[in-house]
Amino acid sequence: MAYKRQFYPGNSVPAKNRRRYLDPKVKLKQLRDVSMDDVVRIMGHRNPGEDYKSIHPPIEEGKEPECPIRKLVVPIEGAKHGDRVRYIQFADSVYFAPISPYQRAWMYLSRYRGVDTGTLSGRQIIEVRERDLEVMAKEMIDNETFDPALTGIRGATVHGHSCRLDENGLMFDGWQRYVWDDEKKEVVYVKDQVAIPLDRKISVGKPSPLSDLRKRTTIFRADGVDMRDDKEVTMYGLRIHKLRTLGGYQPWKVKGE
Amino acid sequence: MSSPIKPTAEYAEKPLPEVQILTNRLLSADSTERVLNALDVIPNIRQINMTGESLPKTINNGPGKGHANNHTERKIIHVGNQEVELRYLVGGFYIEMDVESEEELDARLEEIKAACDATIEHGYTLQVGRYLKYKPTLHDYRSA
Amino acid sequence: MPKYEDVIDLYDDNGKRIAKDIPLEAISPLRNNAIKKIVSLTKRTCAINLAGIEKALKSGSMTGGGVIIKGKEIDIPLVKNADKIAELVKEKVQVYDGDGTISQVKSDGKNVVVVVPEERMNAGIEYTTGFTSVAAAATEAIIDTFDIPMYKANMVKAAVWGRYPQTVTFQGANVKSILEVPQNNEGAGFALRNIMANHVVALVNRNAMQGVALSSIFEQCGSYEMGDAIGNFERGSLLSFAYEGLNANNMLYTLVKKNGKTGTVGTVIASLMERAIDDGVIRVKETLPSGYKVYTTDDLPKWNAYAATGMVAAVMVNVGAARAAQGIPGTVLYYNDLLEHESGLPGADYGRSEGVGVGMSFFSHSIYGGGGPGLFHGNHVVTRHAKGVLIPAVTAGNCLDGGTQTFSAEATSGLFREVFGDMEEFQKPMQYVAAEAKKVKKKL
Repeated sequence: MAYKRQFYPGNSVPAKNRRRYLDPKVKLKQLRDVSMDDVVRIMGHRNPGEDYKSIHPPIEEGKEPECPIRKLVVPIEGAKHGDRVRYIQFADSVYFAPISPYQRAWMYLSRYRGVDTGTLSGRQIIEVRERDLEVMAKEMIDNETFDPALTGIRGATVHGHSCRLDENGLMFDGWQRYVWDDEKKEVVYVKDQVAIPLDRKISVGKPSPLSDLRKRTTIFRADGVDMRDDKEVTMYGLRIHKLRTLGGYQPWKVKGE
Repeated sequence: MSSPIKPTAEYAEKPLPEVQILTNRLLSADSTERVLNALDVIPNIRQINMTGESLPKTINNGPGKGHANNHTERKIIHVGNQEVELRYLVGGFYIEMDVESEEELDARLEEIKAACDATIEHGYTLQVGRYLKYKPTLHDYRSA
Repeated sequence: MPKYEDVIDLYDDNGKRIAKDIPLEAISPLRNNAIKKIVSLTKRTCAINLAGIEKALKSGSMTGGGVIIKGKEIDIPLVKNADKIAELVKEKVQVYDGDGTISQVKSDGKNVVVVVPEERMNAGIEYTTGFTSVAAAATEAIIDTFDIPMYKANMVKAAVWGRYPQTVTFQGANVKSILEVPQNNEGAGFALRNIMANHVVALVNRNAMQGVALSSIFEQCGSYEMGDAIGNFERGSLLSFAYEGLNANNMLYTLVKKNGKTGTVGTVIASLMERAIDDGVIRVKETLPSGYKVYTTDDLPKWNAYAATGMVAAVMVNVGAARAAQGIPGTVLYYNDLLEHESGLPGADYGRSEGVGVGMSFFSHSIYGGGGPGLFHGNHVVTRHAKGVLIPAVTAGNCLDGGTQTFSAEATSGLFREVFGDMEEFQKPMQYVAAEAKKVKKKL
């Protein structure tokens, strides 16, 4: 039988959004188009047009160590070329950002292959072979998981996800990597992800209104959708907790729980 | 055993009451300047302390370490005829009042509220209490 | 009569069936002589680094930590005389002719591999006998061969044994064992868990399936030794070992094959769910209003074995696609979490693998400054909690690395590749254990 993934329980808006972002069959909406060169500039790992540096010789078929699994698992492009592993890191505001770091991890591993990701407080790093990273980074900046005001591209000193927003509605950034363009009503990057000034400004477009973000977010909040109001989600948490505990005690006695 | 050190003054059952104003949004330097100038003319204010999120002068870590930060909101503002160097994106004011009675405090509170209403666009919460330390505690007696 | 009803088919690293209808017990370390021999060789095999000793004696630089002892340098051609040293060591270590002692010169005399006879091990209770007897024999052989005078003999001891007993470990020793000193073990029965993933990678020459098998053998033997696989817990351990480590019923290989080309961790989970449902391990308990199906099982240990197998497959697919080992901890963590959300059932080792994934992510990435995932073993403070099932996944990922790691297997464990390199038991444990399992089957 062909199994169809169900991803996540729950009937609430954040629960449904979580399922959407997780499901690789759902093509996420593209809300903006930041050019690839600009994505490369914001990440700051290489200059646009510059060659990819490599960390090991290219992988050639037949020359890899004798291993049946290597024959089954096709390396991603960057791995074939021996690219360096580089990163992009997003910080997501608690004020109804479209997605939060932990769901990014789920999404990355559901949608992409060959990635290394880790959740930290308020931010999610993803490390991939460089040329593959650039493709993923562009997708993630362009699509609906990114909001110019509430999502930050921050390689270091990410502080701000739980701070109050500024008067323009932007998530706080002590390094001011992006500023508000009051004429165009757009957010503009003036520094790369580690706050080295960019030689030219890069617009990432207009922030979405709060009413829209409330519909798009994966975040449960007491002043939004309280997690306790989604019975399926709370049941899930309790269930896993209980089964882990019983499994840790006498797993052979757990039947039909 | 009662402490031999007494508070310097007591009003409204609190020693030098403070008005705490927390803004719903972090304020730009210009807005902070406007708020302070609106408060500056109100009598009986002994001092105003501010809190917020720190804005470093230089990039303090990562590959850009040492670069000037050039944050637009880290600058000198003018309050009354004084220059104030802002190093924070301000999100809170603690206004220490030098008032003689509850009635006087209430009157000044009204003026403070009016000043805030006129200058803080995205709203704020206001409470009266005592938030900063005003007498020595154990911490001050510990050896270095 | 077999103890358990469970019967499995064993498949090799290429997905070919090599043993049919094997009762679970036949792969138990208590019954399977192949596993016993692997364990035995693990503690009996040591390498004497003659080139290292020669250099240390010549320069006075020995025992690690930048120590140089001037004025007592000894310039002797050890590598040139490797054959003689090897012979003398054998003479000293051997109990009687044909007792299984091996003393073999490798790489033109740079190393000598010594396998200590069982008799010696049986006369003591500590596995360090392997190391101590070889180190002592080598010291004596060198002193005798080159007539080292009394006041310089201590230099030979230090060059061979390292700084021990001033240190707890054999710091800077030129005799190497794959096992750590017992004092470095986190607790009782941890000896076989204290083997770096990189060592296993080197032993199996980067064959991921064999690496998983060998790691599983070490980890599951560790489970027995820790007291974790006794009584009612034994079946669970054996099931995990069978499916995750020995590719029982070809599940691991099939999962990777299905998802190797374009799959993600997510698709591995889908394949695993499909398999578990088809095999009748899990079933729908109820459907919630959102349409979410809560799954349940009547055999949680078996589900755990399936979850552990999926974990290795997920690492093989995701880390394998990257050919970069750094993604192992993250894959372990989110695979288990995604699986729990998908099924409503606990992840590998009842949540403990997921927990380990969190700590291991932190410890293996540069924020903490530590080493790469290749340096991990089941004896580490963040990995020790998920017993039996976690380290094989780490080994799998490390086998598949394409050269991104500073602490690669070649860098940390090259010597062990040379020492154990031509031992079939370590190169092809899947075939070796399966062949023995067939013999055990007949006895049951």
